[in-house]
Amino acid sequence: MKHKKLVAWGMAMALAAGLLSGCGGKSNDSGSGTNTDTSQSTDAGTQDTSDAETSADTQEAAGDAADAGEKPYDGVELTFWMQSYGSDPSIQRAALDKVTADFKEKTGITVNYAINDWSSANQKLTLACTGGEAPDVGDVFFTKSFALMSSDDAGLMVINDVVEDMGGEETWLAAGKDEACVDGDWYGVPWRFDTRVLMYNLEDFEKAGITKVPETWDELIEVAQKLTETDANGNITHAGLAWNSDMGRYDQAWFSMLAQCGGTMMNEDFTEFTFDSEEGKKSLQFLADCINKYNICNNSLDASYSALTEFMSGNVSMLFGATGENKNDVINAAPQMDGKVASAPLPTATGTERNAIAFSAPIGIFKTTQNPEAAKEWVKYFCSEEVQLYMSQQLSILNSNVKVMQDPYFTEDEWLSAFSETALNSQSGDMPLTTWSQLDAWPDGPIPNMCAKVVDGQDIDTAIAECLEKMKAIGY
Amino acid sequence: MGNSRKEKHAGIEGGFWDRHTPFLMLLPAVLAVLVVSVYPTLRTVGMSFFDKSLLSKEEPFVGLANYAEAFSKTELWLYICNTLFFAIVSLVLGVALAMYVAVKLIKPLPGKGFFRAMFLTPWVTPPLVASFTWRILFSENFSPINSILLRLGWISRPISFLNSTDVFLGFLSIPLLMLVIINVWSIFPFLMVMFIAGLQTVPEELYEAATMDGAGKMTKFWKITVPCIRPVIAVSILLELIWQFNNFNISYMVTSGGPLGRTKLLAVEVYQQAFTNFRYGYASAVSVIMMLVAAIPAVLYVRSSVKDLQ
Amino acid sequence: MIAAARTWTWEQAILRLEFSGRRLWKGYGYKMKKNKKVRKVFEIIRHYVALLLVSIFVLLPYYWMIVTAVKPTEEVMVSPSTLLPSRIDLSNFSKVWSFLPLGTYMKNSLIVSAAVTIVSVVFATLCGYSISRFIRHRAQKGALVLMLCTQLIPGIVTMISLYFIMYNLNMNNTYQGLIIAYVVWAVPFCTLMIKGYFDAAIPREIEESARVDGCSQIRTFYDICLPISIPGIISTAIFAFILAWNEYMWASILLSGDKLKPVSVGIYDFIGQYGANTKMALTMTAGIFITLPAMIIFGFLQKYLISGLSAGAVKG
Repeated sequence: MKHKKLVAWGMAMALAAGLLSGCGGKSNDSGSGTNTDTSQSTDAGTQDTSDAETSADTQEAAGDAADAGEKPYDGVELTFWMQSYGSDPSIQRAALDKVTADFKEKTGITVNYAINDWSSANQKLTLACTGGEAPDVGDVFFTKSFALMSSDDAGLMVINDVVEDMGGEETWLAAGKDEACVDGDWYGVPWRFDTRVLMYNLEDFEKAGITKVPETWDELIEVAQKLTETDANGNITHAGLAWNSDMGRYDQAWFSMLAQCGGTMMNEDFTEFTFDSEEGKKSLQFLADCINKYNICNNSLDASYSALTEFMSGNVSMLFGATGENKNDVINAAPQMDGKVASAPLPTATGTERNAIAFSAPIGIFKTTQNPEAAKEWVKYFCSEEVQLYMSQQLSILNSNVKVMQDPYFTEDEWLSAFSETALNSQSGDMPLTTWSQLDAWPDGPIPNMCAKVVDGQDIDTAIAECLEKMKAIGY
Repeated sequence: MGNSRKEKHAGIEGGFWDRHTPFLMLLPAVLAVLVVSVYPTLRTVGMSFFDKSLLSKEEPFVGLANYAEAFSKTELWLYICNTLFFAIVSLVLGVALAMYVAVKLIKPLPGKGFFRAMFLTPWVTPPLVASFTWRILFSENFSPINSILLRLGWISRPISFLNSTDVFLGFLSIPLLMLVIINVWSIFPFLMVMFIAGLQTVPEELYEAATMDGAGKMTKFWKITVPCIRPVIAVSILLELIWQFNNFNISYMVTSGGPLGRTKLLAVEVYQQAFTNFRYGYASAVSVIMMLVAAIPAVLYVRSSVKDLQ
Repeated sequence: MIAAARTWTWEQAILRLEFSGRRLWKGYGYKMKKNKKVRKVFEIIRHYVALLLVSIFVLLPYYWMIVTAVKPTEEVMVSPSTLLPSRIDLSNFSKVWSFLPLGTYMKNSLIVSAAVTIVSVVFATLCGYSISRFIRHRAQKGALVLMLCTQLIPGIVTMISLYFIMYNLNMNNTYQGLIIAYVVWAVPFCTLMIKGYFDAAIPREIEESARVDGCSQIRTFYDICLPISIPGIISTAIFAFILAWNEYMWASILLSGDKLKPVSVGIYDFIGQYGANTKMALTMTAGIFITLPAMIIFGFLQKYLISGLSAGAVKG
């Protein structure tokens, strides 16, 4: 009897497994059909086009009859993953639709894009680098981590040739190289740039008679004290200052503070964490003191609390650590704030240190792509000055390309000029470690956890010690 | 009986296929469940003994090391307490509310259908929508609840429902209680439907007889209603307890486990370990622990159902 | 009264409390105890007041969803918030369609949910019928225990390995991957529901006489039993549909492409983990749109659900 049962179970499993794999096989076939076709055509005229496209100028390419007529990658399809940017996803889709359509017209290559959310982006890119489903081209971050994760047949491709074609490392801000280049090899072409500034409410400043934006921490406290209103019990009813945090996430605000008092996260070889230092403690103390000691800053670990919405509702006068898109966020969600939003570089401990952290992110090509040359064409096109300026404007983000950042769009805009200024005086926010995404994982990675504990009023030394211990356990 | 009759007709009705129809009817569902539910579960149990992680190429066998690591973390005990509290308290409150409403909605008064349909809406509201909305309802500055209380002058400053990290009994915090309220809101419709369905089968005569004997409302409820629908109550409670024990959505979507893990449930921990930190082996171990903690009500449920059968 | 006869003091205290509470509540009505009609009226008022209170609790989120969605934009981010909009502004309702591909998401959700509903109902009905009618046999008993036990496995336990299995079979980013998993999570409970229905609501005698008349098993099931089981089947279908429509975790793990995402994942991904706070109005508007389809379907079928369940399915 027992035997019979076993056989029945085995059969059942086998049957169903067959069924399942049958399904899977089918969908696989249909997917790969187009790929084989295109990879053959890829070999045809690789060299020609890469030369022609280097100029990244549509007119010229179209004028060159021979090349334009050939379109060696005609019919090739690429998948392109990008994270979501800007306050309105439909703008991003419209912009990508336009850019991909232009690209298709020029080269015949169809780029199918997918917009991934930030909350799943890390997971998807990690899988893509470790042999999972990968796009041909992707918008990457944590580049060094991903480069380290990559194996011989999966992960990010070294594309030094593309970087050379685009003018070498001088083309981008230093942060761009820091992010995309590992031991002299480029794993992507920098495009997006991100840094943090102080966003403040002009009207509140005028009302309080403040004419000078704070440049040091002491000035920041003084100004915030003028702006803060409390009730009879000393509870804040209107806060002068808010750390830019959402759902209790304070790590990035603290990274900037660490930079502002001259501290660093890690040593130069990225082998040891160095924030268990004078500066580290000073910055964490500042984080906590503005809340508890000076009573100028709302704190909240509340999941429904967002510093940005507080600013929108006029409950807060200064937002420490605003990003480039925040102004549009505010005006879209709270039109009554139009004309009251201004920016300035973040204050530093004594006014001489670095203002903030900065992030640059590259576009990378995955080794699994069937059409590496076509993918390179797309990267070059997408990262060209013209397209980057257009994307920056559409998505209200900053750019790593020096020339793009010199465009009047950035330098003459009151809101964006604070960012261009900070860009030149910032330090990297992400550490090039494979486990960085775990160390800085929200909500329970060691670093965000440490910051939340400090905000919650717990002892700083213990918090640092615990954090270091947990980081050791994870490994780096 | 049925058997012999079946055999008698087997000759007429194409023999083999007809005889085996009942067995073949079982097959699709049973096979699907075996392959897509039982087999992966066993694989997960197996995986919990390996150090499988996306970030390393090797998958060494580590025996019970994952379990040892899990139990050595104080957080895990916090999550277990959170989960038990969340499941049990929301179940108790949910059952009480559902029963109260069900008893009211069985009465032949006008508006019965309207109220039934209305009270069912939380069940069909996607947890995502419910969670985002409740998060705003419990926010400090944008909550209409705070707004009303402020206007009435009952409070002088807005209440921060989800902020406090103070704990009672080592784990219980106010944000966790708020999640329980949200969960009661979302689970009571199902319980209510089950109870109404059960109550409809209670014969009216029993109540009439009891009224003649002069029994009060509460007496009738405890002496007639509850015993009559005991099987329904037992099944719904046990099922719901298991489901709530595995609840993921509310904790993940409303607070993501915050502040400082005060509202984190086991399912969220497993999800984050597996799909944020990519530590599949460790996540498997935690999920197996989770399954074991749930095993007590589970065994009770299977036993009572099987008993019911005989 | 039975309760009063007991000697526990706390119970008496509660009774007394209830007594005085009732007097307060009913006011002069208590004095008119003899007047049955008045008493009845108060009883009815109390009935509706209680239901009204529960309604407030139930409807609070919907109230806020609608109010936030129709508020003019400049009134949304105001603290403390205003309880009603100063004027109705419907611009969010058109904006949300360009803001996110809600149509695609809804289509995906409907395809997946409909497929899950159909497949689970077929599987569950076949299996439930077999178990209900042939429970004395070993295979059926085994199947029943299997269905009971699999309900107890936490979904997340299955998901970790199922993810790898689907991945190896190239089924991530497919509808099939979602549908297969949802069907399997829905089937055990559906089977038990429908089995209970067959047990209690469909008399065996009809089938047996059909068998005597020479009907095959499958004919008996199909022609005789199915047509009269519609309420039971509908309540099973509702359960499966809601499960698939509401599920988030598995879809978020399995899908990365934008084209196949169901509503819950689509909205979560687009609005983002943090976005719900800053994009309050659009989140609420999208919420209204994705809640409506399920609610409408449900509104129509609600009475079948209860009749299907109460006919015996609730025994589990």
